[in-house]
Amino acid sequence: MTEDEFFGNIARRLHRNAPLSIAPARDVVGAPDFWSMYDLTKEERVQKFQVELEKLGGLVSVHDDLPSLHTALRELLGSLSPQKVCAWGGDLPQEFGLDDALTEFSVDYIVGDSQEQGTGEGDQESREAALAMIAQADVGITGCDYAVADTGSVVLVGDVNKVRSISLLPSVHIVLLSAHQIKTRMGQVLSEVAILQKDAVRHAASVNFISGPSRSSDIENDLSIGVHGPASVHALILL
Amino acid sequence: MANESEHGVLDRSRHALQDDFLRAAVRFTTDRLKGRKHAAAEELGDWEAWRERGRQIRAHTIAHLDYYLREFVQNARNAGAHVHFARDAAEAREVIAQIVRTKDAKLVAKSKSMVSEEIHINQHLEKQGVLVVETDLGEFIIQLAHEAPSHIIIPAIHKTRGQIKDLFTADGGQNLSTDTQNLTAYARRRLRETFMCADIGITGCNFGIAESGSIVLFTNEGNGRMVTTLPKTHIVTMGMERIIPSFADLEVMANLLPRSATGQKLTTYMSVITGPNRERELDGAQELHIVILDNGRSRQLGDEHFQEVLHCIRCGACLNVCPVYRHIGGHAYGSVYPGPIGAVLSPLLNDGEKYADLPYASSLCGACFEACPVKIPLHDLLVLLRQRHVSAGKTKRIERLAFRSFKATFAHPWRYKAAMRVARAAQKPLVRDGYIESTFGPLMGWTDSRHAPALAKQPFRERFKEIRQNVDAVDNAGDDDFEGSDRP
Repeated sequence: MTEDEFFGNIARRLHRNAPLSIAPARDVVGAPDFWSMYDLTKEERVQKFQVELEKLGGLVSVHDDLPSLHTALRELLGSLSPQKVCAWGGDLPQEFGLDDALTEFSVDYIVGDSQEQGTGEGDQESREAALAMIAQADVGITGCDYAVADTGSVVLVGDVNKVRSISLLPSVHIVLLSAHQIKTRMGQVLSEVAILQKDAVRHAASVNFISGPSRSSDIENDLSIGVHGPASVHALILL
Repeated sequence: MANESEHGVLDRSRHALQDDFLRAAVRFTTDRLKGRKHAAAEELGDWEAWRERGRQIRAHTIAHLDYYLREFVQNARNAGAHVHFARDAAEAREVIAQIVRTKDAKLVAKSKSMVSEEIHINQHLEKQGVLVVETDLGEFIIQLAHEAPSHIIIPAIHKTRGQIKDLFTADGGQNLSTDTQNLTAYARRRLRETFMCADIGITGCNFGIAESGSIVLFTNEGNGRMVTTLPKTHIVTMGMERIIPSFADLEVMANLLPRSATGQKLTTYMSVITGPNRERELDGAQELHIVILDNGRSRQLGDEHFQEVLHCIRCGACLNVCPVYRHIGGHAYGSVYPGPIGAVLSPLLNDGEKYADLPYASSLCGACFEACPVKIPLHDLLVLLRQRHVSAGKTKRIERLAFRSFKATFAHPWRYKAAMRVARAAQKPLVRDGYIESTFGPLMGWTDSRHAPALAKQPFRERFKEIRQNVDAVDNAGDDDFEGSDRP
């Protein structure tokens, strides 16, 4: 069926001669007013985020400074004793001083293709090699762009150096974030995402809201964790 | 489970009613989901305000679907997606098969999608020699069992862990136990390979956002992310009515959908995908195709009653509260969409007799409407569909005859009185302890599963005269307390 026929049919069914071309007026948009006014203080946001993510089986620790966060991260990795660790390349290692802090672990910092993507075999090979490396990692370390206190979610906006698979393929996902990234409600993140997505150049192909470890209740309603995605999620918050 | 040789929802439900495990499992889950929904809804404050907001957003979008769908399509194209239109299931299958052929794909990984069930894409691709693997744990289980989903949120709700272990063992699993984690671990290992090797990923779409051309997926297991992140090509199957105008509206849907579906505040993953991956991104599909399906949906547009069925956000809340679904389970409906929404949607999307009896698989109690996060009056729509069925003359001759005489009798007081006198005499051989118990004959359809109270010895119209005298006497005495009176 052609596109014109498809839209012509919809317009006819809605008793119009042609598809509507001006934006219709709206009485209401988005969440109810009482919800849009809901806003927590920074301390409350950190606390709420921790409570909500832990309810989902995630683990959260809050740190006053980088050394304290490094200590916790080293302890966590030490207790997991992973064979391989992958982490976002780009700004993350510098932002959280990971290079110096994690010298005792072998961490692969993954960055996007250095060249523009083509269909050349070389590109595909490097892509597949990188994904195979991530698939073998036990732990993936990422940052995030936002977090949502109300739902205990971290929000990862896709980008060249924020490879999606690192928060997906390893069994353990460690996410590093700053307290100021935590918003009260999902709507506060969505309004920023809406602005970004209007930018034809910078728009993100993927935005993922991640709330705790992968789960399923498909076998006799018994909750099981780590079905396809990570089986544990740790958030380390820098105040 | 029900099979093809059984005709009609009544036959199929008889089969389901014999399966005790199924009924227990269905009840357990639906109770659990219902209970969790109450808790999650309470936390949100003023659930009714959210429902009303959800209804308003869906109603506005559907009433202006020509505008919003076109906005969605234009923005999706601007982001680099290919958009296809399909009038019916056959066209959708052909569009998808064509993409699969062009890519010379051998392995397709699927994440759960009701639309892909609706168009029966798996069988179509398998006939062309393509291996299609369902990756949602529940869907994977029923694919191994060669069955269809029995719940739109929990497809394998009817399978025991013992059965699942046997299915996984037959699939190649070794030394498996019936432990949930053990079984889950097998599926994880087995499907990891599929994700890494698949040429194409197929998903559904919970919402399409008009202002950005994004598709939104709500998932818990992570397979939705796998299927959209690892294969080079991603095909989205989307019902034409899945649109919402903006990201602001997504906040409302994200608060309504998971709570209504599984009682979660939010699913583990909410993924917003806008076009294929960006230049130099290592992962994410390089090619994104969106197949927009009509398949009977546009026929509901402009209909004063049934347009509302397009507001549905496919949460399954109406299944969980439905006393009929809770007894007979999903397969008895014989349709991709079971429960109250399925009983309305299936006969609307498919002309003809196939699902014409589904509107009768309801007690019209209205629990579905109460549960619906976008306030679709499902019980009213079920009555309207029955009305259509009757006006089209599709009911049994004896039923038509019965209702015609009912109309004639009840139109005149003297006919009514005479008929009741006859009935009071005629019921005598059937009455036990004040109820009519008939195990044969024309009354059986009713008395088989329900109590039919016997007609009273003295009709109400005669008793009313006495009652009135009594009430008047009490009122005159200035006594407000009715307890002591012999009120019937």
